[in-house]
Amino acid sequence: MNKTDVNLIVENYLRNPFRSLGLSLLIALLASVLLVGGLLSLSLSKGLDRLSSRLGADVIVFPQGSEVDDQTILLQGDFKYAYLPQGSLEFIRGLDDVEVATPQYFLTSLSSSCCDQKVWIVGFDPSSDFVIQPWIREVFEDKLVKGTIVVGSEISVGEKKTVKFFDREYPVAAKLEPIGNGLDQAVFVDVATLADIRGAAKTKGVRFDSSSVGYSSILIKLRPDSDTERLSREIYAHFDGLQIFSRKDLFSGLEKPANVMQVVVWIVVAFFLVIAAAAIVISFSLSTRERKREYALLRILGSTRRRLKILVLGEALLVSAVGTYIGLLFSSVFFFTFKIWLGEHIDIPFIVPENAEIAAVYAVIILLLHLIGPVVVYGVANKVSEIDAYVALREVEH
Amino acid sequence: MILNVSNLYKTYTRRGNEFNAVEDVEFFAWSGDFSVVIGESGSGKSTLLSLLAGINHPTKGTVIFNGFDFANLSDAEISAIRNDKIGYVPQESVFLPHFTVLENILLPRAIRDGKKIEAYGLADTTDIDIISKLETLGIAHLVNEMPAELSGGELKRASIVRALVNKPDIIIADEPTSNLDEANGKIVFDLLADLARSGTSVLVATHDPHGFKYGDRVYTMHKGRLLPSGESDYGGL
Repeated sequence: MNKTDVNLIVENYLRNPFRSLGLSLLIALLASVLLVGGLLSLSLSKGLDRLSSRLGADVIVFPQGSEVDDQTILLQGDFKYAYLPQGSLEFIRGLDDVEVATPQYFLTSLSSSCCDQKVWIVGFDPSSDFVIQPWIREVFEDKLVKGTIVVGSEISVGEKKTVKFFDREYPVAAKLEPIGNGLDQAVFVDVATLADIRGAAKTKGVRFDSSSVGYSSILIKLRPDSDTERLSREIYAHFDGLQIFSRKDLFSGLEKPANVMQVVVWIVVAFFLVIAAAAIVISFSLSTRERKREYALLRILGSTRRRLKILVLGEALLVSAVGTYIGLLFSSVFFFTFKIWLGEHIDIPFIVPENAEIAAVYAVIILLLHLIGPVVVYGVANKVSEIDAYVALREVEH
Repeated sequence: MILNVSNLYKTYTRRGNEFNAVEDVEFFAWSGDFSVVIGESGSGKSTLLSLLAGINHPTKGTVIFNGFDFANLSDAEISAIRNDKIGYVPQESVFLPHFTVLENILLPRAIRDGKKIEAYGLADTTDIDIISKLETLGIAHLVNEMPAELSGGELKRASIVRALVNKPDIIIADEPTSNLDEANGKIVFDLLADLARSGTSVLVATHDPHGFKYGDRVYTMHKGRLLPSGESDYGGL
């Protein structure tokens, strides 16, 4: 493509701004849907994958009355104040199907002057924990000493790198990678530090539930070939006031809406793809008819058939490129402005992809959408290149 | 010899019947020739000129340009000849509507050099004396107008100048004085005659009776056949 070609292509684009911009805007819509849909889809997949890998446990046991269902466990990490019956952990550890069982304890801080913010505090037992410590090790390899805490990705940490609970400062040892649910707003501590926080609360006159020494949940890793239903039956036979969720129960409720959302996104993408492609082909076909004399003139003046093809493909490329960049610009502003809002309002784990992944999404969209115009008008370009200049001129003349 | 044409045929099909728009034509052109082809409408003049200009493909026969047989050349090679060696003036004036008249006139050079059309200002055209030709044809003051602003006669004259931009070896002009009054028609023929005198071969198809007298050789086209003047029953001579 030489400067004459570029000159002709740009002039042809500008000569009919309504047509050109109209087509570009269709591509812009397609680019927007692709970008938002692609990033949304990727964010949901990442959210589910991360949650699945972070859950760690095959089975989770909660107290009845903790007002949880499978959605809130995964999405909000909101467990209320309720505690498991005494002896339940020991009983579960004694079952044949159980490889490891570890307790967790939940507290909330207060959003008052004593505390920096109202957050969930998740306490774990370092000696048996197989869920929280692997997350922590991803960002902090040392042993967590008493009095230090690990915070979720959305917890704001001041310059001092401490968080205050009940007027006591706790140094932050590490900040976790995002998980995509309410646990991103939680603080993780070992049982010793949890006891310290309870003590601080007590000195401030804050009294937790009288049964607050109990466990808030028990996370279970099963032995290979174990039977979840049998395990549930055995636990239910010995204890009332429990709820038992398997990993399958937890995720089936999330995967379905995530899949539906992804299907909807791709249907919308396909719809705009078809509309944009059809509009480009029709528009270029009509425009080619109108400009037959001009193409004939270019042939007479020495343009090769290949050059005519380049002119048509180049104009389609320009239409696509302008649309792509307009669409990416506006949809980027939309997505990155509202990503937090989207994450909060879509009831599915949502993690914005890494910069490299986002760059890859952009690269794929730019490549794909730059190609769409030239690909769909390739037949039209071939027809133009085969134009019989002499006949074309005479058709119009007579 | 610039053009050597022998046994040339162009056959079309109309309503299922084949007919020869050009039939068994022999034609030669040398540098400095001024050849005129006359003939009634539909006799095949335009078809013949399009074949000689490499715009149209013959059904049979050979067109040899400067020793190159069009039949043996690639599209790129013929296009380069059309661009640089042949100045073709079509019967109907066609221009790119969104470029100025000057940009249109300089288009053949832009295609040849692969440069931006707007980069050619009028000052760049002095080497081929385009300004004087524009002045001769009375359209120098119109070069910055858009084609839609010009009359048919003005466009015709602009398309003649466009054909001269790359200093071609031959000018092939199809009805170059259509849309022109007698005085402007004479100016056009005088210009073409000057070109012939300076060594450019000129081939003109015309109905204009004033054009006949400019031709070193005058041919009559009749039902696709090209006949030396005086051998036709066409009453133009």
